Amino acid sequence: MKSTKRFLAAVLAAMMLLVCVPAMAEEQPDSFIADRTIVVQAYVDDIGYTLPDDFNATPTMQKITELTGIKLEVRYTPGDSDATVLASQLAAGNIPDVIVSYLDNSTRPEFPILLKAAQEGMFADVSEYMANSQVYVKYMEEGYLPDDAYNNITFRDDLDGVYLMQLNIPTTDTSLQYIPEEEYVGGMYIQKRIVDELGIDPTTINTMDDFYNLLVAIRDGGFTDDNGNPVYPLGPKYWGGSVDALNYITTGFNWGVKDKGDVYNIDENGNVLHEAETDYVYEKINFVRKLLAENLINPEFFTMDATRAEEVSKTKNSAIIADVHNYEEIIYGSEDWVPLGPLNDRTGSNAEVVSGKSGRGCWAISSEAENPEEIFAFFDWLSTKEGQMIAQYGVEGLSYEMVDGNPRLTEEALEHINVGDEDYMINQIGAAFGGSGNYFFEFMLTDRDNTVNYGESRPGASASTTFARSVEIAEEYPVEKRLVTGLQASAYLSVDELADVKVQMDLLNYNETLVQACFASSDEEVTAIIESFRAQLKSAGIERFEQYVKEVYEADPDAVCFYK
Amino acid sequence: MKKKRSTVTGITVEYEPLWRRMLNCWPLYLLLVPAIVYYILICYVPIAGNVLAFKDYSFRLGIWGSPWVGMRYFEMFFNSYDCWRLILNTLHIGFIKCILEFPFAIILALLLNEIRAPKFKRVTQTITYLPHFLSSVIIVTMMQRILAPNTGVLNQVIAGLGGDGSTFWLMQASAFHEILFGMDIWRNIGWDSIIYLAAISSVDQELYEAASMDGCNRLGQVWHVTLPGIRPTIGLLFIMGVGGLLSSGFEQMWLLRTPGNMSVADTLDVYVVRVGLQQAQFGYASAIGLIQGLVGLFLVVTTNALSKKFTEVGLW
Repeated sequence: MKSTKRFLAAVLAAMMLLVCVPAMAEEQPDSFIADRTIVVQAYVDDIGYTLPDDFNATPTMQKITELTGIKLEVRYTPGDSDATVLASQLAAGNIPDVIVSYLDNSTRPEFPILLKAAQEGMFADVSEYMANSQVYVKYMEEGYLPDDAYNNITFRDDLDGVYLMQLNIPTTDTSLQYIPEEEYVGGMYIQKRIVDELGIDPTTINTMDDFYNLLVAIRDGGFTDDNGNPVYPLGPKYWGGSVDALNYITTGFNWGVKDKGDVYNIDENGNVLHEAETDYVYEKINFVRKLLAENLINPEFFTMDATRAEEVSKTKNSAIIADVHNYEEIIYGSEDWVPLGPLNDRTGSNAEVVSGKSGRGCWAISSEAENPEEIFAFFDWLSTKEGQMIAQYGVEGLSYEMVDGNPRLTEEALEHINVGDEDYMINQIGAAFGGSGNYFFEFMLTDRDNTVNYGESRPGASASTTFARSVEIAEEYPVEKRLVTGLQASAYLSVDELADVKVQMDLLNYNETLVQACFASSDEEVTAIIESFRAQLKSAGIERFEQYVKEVYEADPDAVCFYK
Repeated sequence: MKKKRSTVTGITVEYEPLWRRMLNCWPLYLLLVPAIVYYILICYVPIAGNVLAFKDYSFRLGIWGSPWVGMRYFEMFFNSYDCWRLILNTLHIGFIKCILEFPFAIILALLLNEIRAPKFKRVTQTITYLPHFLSSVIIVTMMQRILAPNTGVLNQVIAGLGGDGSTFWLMQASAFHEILFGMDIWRNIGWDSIIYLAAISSVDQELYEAASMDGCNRLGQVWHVTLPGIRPTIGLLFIMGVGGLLSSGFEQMWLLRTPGNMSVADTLDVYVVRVGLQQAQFGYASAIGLIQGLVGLFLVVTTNALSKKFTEVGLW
């Protein structure tokens, strides 16, 4: 009797085991990583503004949890600037499992802070996980990462491991190709009615003289805004007054390479110079002073807050918006605005300068995080073709269907996206939708090639009516591209031997000096301001820096982004 | 029981030991605890953080574990190109805020004290101290609108009178101190006058009657009775104000500062935040903060000593 009971118990146990094994197999798909929550601190305002009310309750995140076991807690702390919050929290030493920051390249203000944290061991070394990963292993391949990301950010010689992973690296370098479906056509935009009334072709406004004459014609044309007030020929950037817009309006007087935002270049004698050390600084300042004196530019061009800048653009108080792009509603929402120029640089070319692949953003795992290999595996999975599809499109059957092997948004999803229904995109689905929805999932991807992987440049691009005008603008106003290789000269300021120079140079603000000079009461005051800045550059040790860059450039002209 | 003779009246007063008095009045001392905790945590503990001024701050090692660098940051600051410009700008603005604006609250308190209609007095007082409760962001935004070129109220008035209405006041270094002074007075005069009004209310009324009998008119009474009556209060507030001479206040300066006026609006407080927080140079920023604190302490001690010597009014 006893042995029968034992036999029955053994049979029962075996049956239970047989039942459970497939069930367990169902619970843990191949992509399963761990049953845990990863806490992420984002220093990216775009992420902060689009966080779902309950991150893990969105269908997209639930699908991701189903596949990986991972839940996310994404935090964002608003502050004076994301870089300031980053510095404060790193200094306080209380970072969670993962931090995410803006980092287009090593000249961003966040970089020295992130580098200091990496050097001081605040982040986990992920080189071992990277070698065994599905996607990030590509970072180790020669030529995959942009030179700046490879040499200065991820694989620095002065770091004993890999700590900072740059994000949003394209799978292949398409920077020289012009693909209208993917192009952000940025820069100056002019009111279409003014173009029509003046009878001009906005693409033929290329020289500084053309531009000045156009501004005069607008001023003298008696154009008024929606409120009946005279327009300002040139208004501020759509996102608020800023000196950055000088890149578009004084292009012909910029010493640095166009579109690269740098202020260094090399002269005919092979000497590296800051723009302030050349006469270009005076040409630039004098041009803006002339516009101010002749009432051709909004006097608050550099200082207007974002709300008012948006207002003066929307009410058409600006005949020309100094900087906006085709994916802003003011542009794609009507046919009222068209691109102007672009203006020629000092070499006579108006082609957009590219330097090959580029990245956007960066992430790192805290050295205090438990099981960092799981965290790495999760973000690696997120950038696989499967992970990216869920992150961008949401859940199959809910927000997209597979059509001929490619994900396509459902009619319902398209309707919501076309009307800009943020609640639907962020809370009800929780996917990125090309940056219009939950931006965290847009930001945290890398190895990107939507056109190849999913047959369209962004979710809904092939069917959405919202951005039809954006693509139309890109098609109607194509931009030439031009390759100028190398890192921005200022990237070399972060080398160890120039640490003392960098400390002093970081205290200087060339942009503020420029604006100060533009508003000076006399030419003598302009000279005094610029001479004072030149003296400050010297005092900071700029000559040592310039000599260093000169040597780098002489050894390899492709290493520094100068006009060749 | 401990006994002590009062030096003022010559009467012998018996004191209980402190611990017994504390025990007897423990509810009152209990009420004091939050204030003591506040001062220890918020005012005294952070003083220890000044040690950062002598350390190369490491995220990993923290304040105490970071390596010492001696006086490096002080040398760096005093050798920097901006040093004296920043100090002069800060002193200039400190002078406006601590010295130039100082009498206005007293004048308002004296004027309010002369108002005989209680309702009018209360309404006036409320209107004058309400701006104190507005945040700097709101006030500076209002100023930006009022002073905006062409569309601002000031420029429209100027244009209406036939002048040039396109002046961008906030971009003009020459107008910065006047703007700051006007804004500060408008915001603080009412609030600052409250303490003087309280002091005036405690002046003995018989002194006014006596002055009146001696032939003093109202102005004479203000000069000979009210002002001497509130002299200790004026003295104390002045001494404390002098301590802020090397401090311009961050918020207001940060918001009012534009590239056009930065030659005069760049002060140590703004610089500390710019360098310390935005560029993570915590040691350097702490060194500058420490200089400000020490100069402020020196000024308070010196002014207090001078005040005691010449007016017998002092903080201690």
